Amino acid sequence: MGLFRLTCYAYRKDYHRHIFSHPMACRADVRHENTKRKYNGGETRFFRVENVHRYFMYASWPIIPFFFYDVYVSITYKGFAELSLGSIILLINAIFVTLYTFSCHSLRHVTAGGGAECFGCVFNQSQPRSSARWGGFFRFQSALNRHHEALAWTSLSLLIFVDLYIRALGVHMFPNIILIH
Amino acid sequence: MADREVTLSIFRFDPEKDKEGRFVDYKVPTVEGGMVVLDAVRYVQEKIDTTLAIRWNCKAARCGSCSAEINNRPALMCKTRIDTLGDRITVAPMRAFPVIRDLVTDVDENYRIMSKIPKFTVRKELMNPEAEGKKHQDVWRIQQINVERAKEFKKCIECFLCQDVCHVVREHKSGYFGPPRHIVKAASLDMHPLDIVNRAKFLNEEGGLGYCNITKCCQEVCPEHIHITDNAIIPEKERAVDLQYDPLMHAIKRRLMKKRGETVA
Repeated sequence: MGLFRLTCYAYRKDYHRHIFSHPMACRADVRHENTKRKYNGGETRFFRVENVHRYFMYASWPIIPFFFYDVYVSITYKGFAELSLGSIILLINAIFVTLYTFSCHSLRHVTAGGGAECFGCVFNQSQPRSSARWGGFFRFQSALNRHHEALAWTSLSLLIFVDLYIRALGVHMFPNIILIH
Repeated sequence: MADREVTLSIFRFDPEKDKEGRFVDYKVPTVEGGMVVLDAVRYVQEKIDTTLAIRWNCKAARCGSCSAEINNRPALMCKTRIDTLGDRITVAPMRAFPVIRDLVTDVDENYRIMSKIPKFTVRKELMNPEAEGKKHQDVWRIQQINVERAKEFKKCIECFLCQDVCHVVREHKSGYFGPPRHIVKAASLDMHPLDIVNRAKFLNEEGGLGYCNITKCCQEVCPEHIHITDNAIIPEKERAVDLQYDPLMHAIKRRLMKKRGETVA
């Protein structure tokens, strides 16, 4: 999951801008413009590794059901169903992580049909309905993909928050508020 | 009616007289309601210094001629309102290109790069569909979803602001074609259903696609709001991954391309 995030197109923008400062900003007076400054080669040298982003994406898919399993366990671990604030937070976290994973640019290319040269041609021209459905999925995924960066940061913040929240509950820092008993 | 006065600091450079350029200040009265930077620069040219050279044409953000760096940010002069800026406005030419005079730059390099991109190559059977007993209107029909994908790139007005803002083109001599115009052009051809050439490998090897590090400045400055990075560069990078880094996808892609009679440029 960590490697999936490290090679993500949304995070690439952030760390290339703010850690490597290539460029720091778009405005010429803000960024450190210096033609003599050596360029790290973008994604041609070490960062070529980012090209295998889609394999990290495949690796992250099996992890997603465990987030929802956690929600299930948090509701039923006492032997009866009980909805607490913690379960709601876990559910929100699971939804955001899922949305982040499925709004990925690589998924858009590989699965949603972005890599197809032609929608109607690849998926059998004699069945325009199937290509139309595929097109609909591509449109939906593209709409999700537009918010990939926001989803990336929201889900990362949530992940950290949830870990701290569960830890705090574990050491009885505050009680887990029960909503439905 | 003159509303307030702004100081316009315009870059001046005359190759016959000057060794290097300098900024000259001009006081320009502004008018309330929709006055743009181009109006102010034209005021200077008409009323204060007629030797000022600028390139402009439509004044409607359609022709892409009046590209400049306004307060150090690449923008169209005709689309930047004075009332969104402060009392002191700097106007400089696009620094990624050689200056011909004052605000006019030589953008020929872009057209030279453009001519290198493999041309639109239509499938052979489409040229003579009657031979296979099909009608012209059937084989040339394009589905709406395919039209939508390529249509976005056709909005490009060739202002070359994206090329100007790109840090790879601007600061490093890397041989990168630049995001803007050229990758967008190649992507529009690659996503065309009737075209049979895959340009991703060509872009990666000769166009220096790998130099782009997805920092999205080109997308930020595009006056036509084309999603340059999200819809053109990243799909092209993914296509290059298909052909060069991903053995699994390469095998699938090779079969599909063989089926469709596609070639790799």
